[in-house]
Amino acid sequence: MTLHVWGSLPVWVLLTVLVVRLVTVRTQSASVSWLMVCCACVAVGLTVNQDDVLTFLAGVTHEPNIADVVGRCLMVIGLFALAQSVEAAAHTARLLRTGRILGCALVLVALVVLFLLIDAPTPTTQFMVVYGDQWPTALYSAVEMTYIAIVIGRSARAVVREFRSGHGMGRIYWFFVVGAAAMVLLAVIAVGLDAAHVLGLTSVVAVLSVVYAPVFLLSMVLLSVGSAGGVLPDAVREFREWRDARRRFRTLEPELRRLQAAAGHEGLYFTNVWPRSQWRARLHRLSVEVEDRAREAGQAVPEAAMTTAAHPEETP
Amino acid sequence: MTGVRARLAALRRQTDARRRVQRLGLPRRLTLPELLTRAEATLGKPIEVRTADLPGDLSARFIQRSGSAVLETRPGLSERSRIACVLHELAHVFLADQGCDHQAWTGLLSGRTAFTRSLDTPHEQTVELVADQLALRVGLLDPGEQRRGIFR
Repeated sequence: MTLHVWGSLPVWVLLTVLVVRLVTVRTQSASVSWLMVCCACVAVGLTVNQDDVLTFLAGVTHEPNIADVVGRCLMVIGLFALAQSVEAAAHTARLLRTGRILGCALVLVALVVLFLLIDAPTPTTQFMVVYGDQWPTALYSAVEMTYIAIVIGRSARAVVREFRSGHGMGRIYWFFVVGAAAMVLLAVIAVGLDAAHVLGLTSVVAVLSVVYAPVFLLSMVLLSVGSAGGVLPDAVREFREWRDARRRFRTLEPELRRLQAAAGHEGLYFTNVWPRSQWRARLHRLSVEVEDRAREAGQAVPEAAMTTAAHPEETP
Repeated sequence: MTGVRARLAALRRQTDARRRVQRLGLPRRLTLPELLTRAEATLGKPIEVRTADLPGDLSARFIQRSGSAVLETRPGLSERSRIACVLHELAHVFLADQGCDHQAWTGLLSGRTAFTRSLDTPHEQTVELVADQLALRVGLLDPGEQRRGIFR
């Protein structure tokens, strides 16, 4: 396995958790959805540049090192998704920021154009080592790493701001901040490597190459753990609550039918269409209607309906 | 076939309610007091939310006066139900309901417009569906322990 495949492993783990949660519970915030896109792109982007895939893609496209540019483009899209994930968590999120979309598009175009300028006739998973002495290659890598550094830096700054605003973020998010710092350091090392390689400073290349691997692996692990800090406990809790909601549906639906008959009124619960993802909205409507019909029928509200407590932030 | 038609009609109503709320241009998340402020701006007058004994099995009502409005919910409701009632009445405001489905109340409260929460007309059902959409925005359907935020 290449270094990048090793680095993708924690991202694959996080992606698996997110997929399992989506398949079973079907609920997730926009922030988590974008994080999922980020993980998918980064995981595939890091995994694509290995012998089997490289050979396959080269055979299909007749472009020997297409896997490298595909991997880098996926990394850039993944980082764009990370920025969107952070944005989506904001109180007044603006997901369609022209500058951000344009920035990502320009980086993607620049990567493709610079890749086409590189003279790289033989397929290799060590693209930068083999072809890094050409200036388009150095620029190609530097553009990607600069974009990554900027996005990850801004994301980390948003996390730190959340800490300062006292929104009760768990300490595990510090892993993300430290991981982001390591990733920015990695970008600096990568750009330094690119420059040294083009300038023929082999001793500098040798030193930076040694540092690159541990910093890369460390940053990937820390970023994954930091991102998982919010996701994992939520996934467990969501699953428990979804299971509890299903039990309540079984208990309260017959109660609601009974109370509807007694009150002589029908509500919306049995006429509404409830996709599985809307189990919370369904439980809300069921609880409200059970209480309404019980009042109209002059009967006590069943215990199971009263235990679905509401938790709005503030109430008038 | 009738079942399919009924489901499609229900789906249309729910989609319509969601679009109506989207058209309001509200933030994706806001607190109930913030929503109330928005409703006051829409109505052009302050809204006082209070608990009051209401006749019969009425759960809530909305009474407009010339310079203010009163949103009343009956005592003894669970917090979820009480907020659902408040949202129902605010939905009337956001839908810019000029008339009143409950003529008896209009007669009783001469010179005022009153809305009451019930589901006995198609329009009231629409209002309730809009209220459910508003419930999503104010976090009424959020899980209790969840803190919103990055990656959550």
